[in-house]
Amino acid sequence: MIKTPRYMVKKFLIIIFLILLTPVYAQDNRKIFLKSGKHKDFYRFVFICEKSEITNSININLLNDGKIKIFFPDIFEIEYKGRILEEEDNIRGIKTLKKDKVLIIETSDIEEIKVARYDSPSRLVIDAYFKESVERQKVLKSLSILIDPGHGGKDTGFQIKENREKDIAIYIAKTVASRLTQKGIKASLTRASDEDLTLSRRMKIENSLKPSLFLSIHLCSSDNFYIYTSPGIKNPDIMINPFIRKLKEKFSEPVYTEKLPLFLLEKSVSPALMIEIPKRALSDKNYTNRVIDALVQAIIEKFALVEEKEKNE
Amino acid sequence: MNKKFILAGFIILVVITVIGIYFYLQKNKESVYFYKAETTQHLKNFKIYLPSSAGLTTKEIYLKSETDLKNLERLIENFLRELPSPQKDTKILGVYRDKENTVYVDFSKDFASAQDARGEYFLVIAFYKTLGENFEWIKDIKILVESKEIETVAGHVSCEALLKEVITVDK
Repeated sequence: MIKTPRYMVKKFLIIIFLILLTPVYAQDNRKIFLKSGKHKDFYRFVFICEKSEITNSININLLNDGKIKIFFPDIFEIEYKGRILEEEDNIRGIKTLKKDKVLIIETSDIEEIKVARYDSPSRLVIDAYFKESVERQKVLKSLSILIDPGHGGKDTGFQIKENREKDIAIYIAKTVASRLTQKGIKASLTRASDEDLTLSRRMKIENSLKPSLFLSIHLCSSDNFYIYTSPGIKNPDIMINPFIRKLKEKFSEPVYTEKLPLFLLEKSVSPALMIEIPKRALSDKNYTNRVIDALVQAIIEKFALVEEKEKNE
Repeated sequence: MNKKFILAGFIILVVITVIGIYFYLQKNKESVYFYKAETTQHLKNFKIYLPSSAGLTTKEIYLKSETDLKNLERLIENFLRELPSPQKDTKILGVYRDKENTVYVDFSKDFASAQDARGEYFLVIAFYKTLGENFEWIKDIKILVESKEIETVAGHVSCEALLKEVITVDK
């Protein structure tokens, strides 16, 4: 078979095309896509890479002045919102410096970073927490809460058909504890199952754990919220106001407070309160979940800030 | 002559009527005194404390005076009658007193029906005050439900702790 010049030219052009195409592929491999977002407590930077080897080779340092330094395994182009980052650029108003294999994000108020690597697509996620939120997290971590689900065992509490107060109380207590744990707050329960637990036993648990807050959860026969504190407590407003505010914010039902010398409140070594939730929670799960939200928010957002303030003072 | 007889007869009649009225009144007066004496001898005044929306209210009742234990039982019956349902339906299964003057009151389970913390607190404190103030000889009170001693009536209040509070304050 004789190869014609035309055929040779065609073959040559294909080879040229392939040669030209290779750098294009190579260039794509050297491009990293960057996405960023600003959250309440942190910035999130996401670097999407072609290969997981690249993702795993990226090193991140938080510098003393709050800047984030990122070392890439090679020289990459970083594409952000459809454009390639230049040597001096900015992301969401934050200055960036890019030189060779290094990218510096010139944040200043960053106290802590959390780095995670994920697949599909292969990406590196940096959560950079603001100084204030880190301090707040530290305060939150120093808090411990003991939640006491009322009743249990033979003592069912209020009951409407098959819905019993003891079950609702433990559902609320467990969910609140779990949500607080996710936020870094140490949360414990006086009872975690349907068991008979005397008031004395509950108090022994409280006395040994000495939590930052002791919260006893009950339901009441009316459509009101009741918050009880011990008459002996010096400044109950610091403790109960966050709960009153949150409950009033989220519910139309009245919130009443009263000082009552109940055993659990009187004998507690920690600040203690008992909350009675409207009977509606017995039959309305959505309502119960809203109560949980309010309690969690009250504990975290309000009570934690008060603790922080007290510590600063 | 006739006129003299008529006048004398009239005077005698008036005197007899006056004497009759006097003795009649005397007799009635004795019975009134007797009735009063009987009343003061057999009826005794008791003060009942009751839970209310404002906390505690009081009510005075008069009961025929009998033995201490019988009086105690009748007072508790009256106390229960004044409570809202379902506590109102509570039956007294027994009232006992031991050598140390500890009183054991055994209730049916209606007494331990579910209720709010506030309601429970004032129920228990009203019960203790009712017994403690009317019977000074009582040194301790044990609440039993269906013959079992209980720590709490409805899960919020420690009976023992509350009794100490009442005893310390009042005695």
